[in-house]
Amino acid sequence: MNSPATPRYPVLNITLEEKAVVATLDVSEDLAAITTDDIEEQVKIAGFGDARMDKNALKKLLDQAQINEHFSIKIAELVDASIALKVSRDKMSVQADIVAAAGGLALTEEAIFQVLRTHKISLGCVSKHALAAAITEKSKSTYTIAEGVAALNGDDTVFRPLFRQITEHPPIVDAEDMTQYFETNDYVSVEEGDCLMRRIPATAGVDGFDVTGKKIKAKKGKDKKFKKQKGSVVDEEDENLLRASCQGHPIIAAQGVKVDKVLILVNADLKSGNIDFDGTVIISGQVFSQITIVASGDLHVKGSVENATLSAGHDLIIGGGVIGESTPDIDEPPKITSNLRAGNDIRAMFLNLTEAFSGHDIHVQKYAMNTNLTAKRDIIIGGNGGKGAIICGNTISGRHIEVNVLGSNAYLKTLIDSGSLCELHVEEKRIKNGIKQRSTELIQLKTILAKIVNKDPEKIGSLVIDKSKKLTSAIASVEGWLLTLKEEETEVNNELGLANEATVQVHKMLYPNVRVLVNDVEYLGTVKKRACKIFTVNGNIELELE
Amino acid sequence: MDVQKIMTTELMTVSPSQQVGHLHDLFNEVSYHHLPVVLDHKLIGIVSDRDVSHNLSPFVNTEEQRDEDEMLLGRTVAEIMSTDMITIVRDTSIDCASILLLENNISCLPVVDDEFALQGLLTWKDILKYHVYS
Repeated sequence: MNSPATPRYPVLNITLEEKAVVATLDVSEDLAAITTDDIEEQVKIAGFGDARMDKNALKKLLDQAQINEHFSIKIAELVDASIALKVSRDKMSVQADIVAAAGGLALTEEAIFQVLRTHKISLGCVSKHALAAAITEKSKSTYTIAEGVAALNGDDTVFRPLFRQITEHPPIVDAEDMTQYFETNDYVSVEEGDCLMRRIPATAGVDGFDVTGKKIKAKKGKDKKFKKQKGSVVDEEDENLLRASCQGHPIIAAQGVKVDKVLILVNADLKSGNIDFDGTVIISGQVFSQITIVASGDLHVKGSVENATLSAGHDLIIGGGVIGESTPDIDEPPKITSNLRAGNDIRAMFLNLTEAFSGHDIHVQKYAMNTNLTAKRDIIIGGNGGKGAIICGNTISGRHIEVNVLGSNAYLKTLIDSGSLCELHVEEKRIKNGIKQRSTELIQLKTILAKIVNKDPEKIGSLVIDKSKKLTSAIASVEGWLLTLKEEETEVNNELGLANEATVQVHKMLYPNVRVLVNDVEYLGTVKKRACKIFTVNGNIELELE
Repeated sequence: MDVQKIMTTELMTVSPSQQVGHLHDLFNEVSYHHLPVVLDHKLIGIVSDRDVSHNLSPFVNTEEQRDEDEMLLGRTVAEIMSTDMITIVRDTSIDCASILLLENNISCLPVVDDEFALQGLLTWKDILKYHVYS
């Protein structure tokens, strides 16, 4: 007699075929139901618990288990750890994308090094910390595994003055409302042998290297030597130290210090007469009407200046104020009769009926009235707590004009002109064309000279010799001209740089009678404005209230 | 000293579309041997009496003149002018200009500005006058 058939359930076998974990279902009499957990347990017992499971394959396996037929499928994989390198464009860093092993081989230091070597990465650039983290990575991450070292460019030569300079201290105003430069010992004098300047030589810099180990050459700093100046000499035992060779007033010059002889007078008047001095001039009193003083160095006037002409090669500093003609005819417009000129800065308490030109900055404490000011760089009216007003006149600067009060209730015409891009561009064009033309002439002349010089030596007579002398002289002349043009080009480029920063800053009040130009773009206000800044953006005038 | 002080500024110029026949008559009337060719105020070439005679038949304006000789008279300045020029500017030195004239075997140098507008003409006569009479 036959008994009824017993239900049969499959049995699971887990095997490894290369890196594939294969699960095989066999028909069996074991009636145990099979679940996902059972399969995973079996895989773990088989020693492949870390392998990467294929969930789709697992599902398929479970479905097949219901049919109770022989079935085999790859349900997991042993995956080795992986590393992919990305080298930056500038070859200064290497990123490593790390994927941890799943049952397969873990990353070793040697394996990482091998990959780096393949990419020609220098092992000296590898970060030990990043290396350790990459090896112990459990999942997936990116590490900066190697970095180059940027070159450290050298420093240019630095010239450090070893004496106090007048601009280091703000001026003190005494009870008589006079600026005291002398009582605060701001006026500097040196004795023969005093140390003037220390030269800190340029440094070579430190070369760097990229991740392939290739050297990145550092740029050497620009090396500049002391330039010979009057009144100073390089120390015999220390070539980086400059000393005074005479007593006098030190003035910082290009790559050095010059020591000016000093002429000290009580007043500049009929008794002293006009003064033309090669050095620094100090007037401890006043400068009277119709006097002219020319000093190649600084010119300091402790008191006031009236209706005079002052010219300083360097700084012009006036403790009191400057006025023009003292009693102008009421029916006639005011006349500008005082003239100030300085190669560097002009500083004064106030200016009235004056024409002032400086090669650098102009600083006026109280006001500039009916005065024309021109400074290559900045004009500051009212710094150090002064009233700081510009009323009437033309004020022109290469870069920046800063004032507390601009214009007045009397609605007198005042012009402010900051930056002069248009003029500078015209000048720039002139210089560029000049350089182009002179360069063409130079090539033409040199070509002609080369033809003469390459002649058969037996055919060279006195005419050819004379010709080549003349050509050489003409070439030298054109080269000299070209050099001058290139110097002018550098200066114009510097001025263009300043003009691009041109602004007019008003700290308290801007009256509507003031015409303001910033890089030749006009602002003409119709109402009073409080603190504001006027500048240009893309050729358009902007006013920003503060 | 630069060339602007001695160059000739009162200039006769011709246009590129002018006919060679007119140019031939012009050269017979004036004492110049070179004429600058100008278009829209810019220098574009130089034409000389030699260029004219090279491009005309010797029988022109003679009894032996043929039809083909007459056709040559209708050619334009643009067809015969020289465009390969050495030019200078107002502030070129006289020394430099003299050398360029001598060593390039030319008899005049047009003086132009940045835009290549003609400003003057420097000839060997101008230079000679300068050296003799200055």
